[in-house]
Amino acid sequence: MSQYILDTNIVSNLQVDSENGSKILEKLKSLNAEDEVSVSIIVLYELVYGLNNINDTMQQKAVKEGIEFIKEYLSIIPLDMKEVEIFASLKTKYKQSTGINKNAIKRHNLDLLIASTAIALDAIIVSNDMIFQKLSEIEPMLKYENWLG
Amino acid sequence: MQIALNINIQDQKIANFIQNKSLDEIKTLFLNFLTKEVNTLPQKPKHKWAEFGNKMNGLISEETADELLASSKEFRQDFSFRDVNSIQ
Repeated sequence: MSQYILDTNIVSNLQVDSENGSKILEKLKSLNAEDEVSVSIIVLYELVYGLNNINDTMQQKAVKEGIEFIKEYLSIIPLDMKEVEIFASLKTKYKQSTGINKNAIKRHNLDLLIASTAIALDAIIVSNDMIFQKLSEIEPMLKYENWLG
Repeated sequence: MQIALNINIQDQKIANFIQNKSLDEIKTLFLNFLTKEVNTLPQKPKHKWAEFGNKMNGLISEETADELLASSKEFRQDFSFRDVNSIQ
């Protein structure tokens, strides 16, 4: 049994009838019923924020429907005490290995939080964002898959 | 597809049932049995991840997905933990 944490880019692409959408759909179909698919609460925040930025009423309705499906089918993972130390260690390792400055790393705080959640749960983060690949190279405890790769 | 079978029927009731039937009738019985078997093969149940994927796929347009991705990028880039120095 594996647990997958889908990033926002995966959830967004899944909703489009396209080559990328089909790739993600096929991957979901290939999972075992015993596997667990989830999203971080951060992804839900982003989707609801994104919903508010959409002007087309029909598309707004469709995004809302997608959010409801996510709530119905997937587990939503909250932030937890378990990842506090993991986050601190991961952020320090990332800073040291990339030499990124204090201001530039701010834009990765949420990526680091999602990655910390994945490590804490021994789950696989599924994303098309290369930051997670970099983080998995720095921290082997982080399992990473790109279903669009 | 053609198949030739040589079947030894041990069960007397079955032997009695088919002994007065023509070869064509037996063929039909056999084919009907096979058709029913194939049609009632247990379907692999779709698990919830496939069901979730099917419900999600095709919901929104490419443009809306791009808008969601842009919002997500903005959300991540603008996020910062509370600046301790700003606490009054």
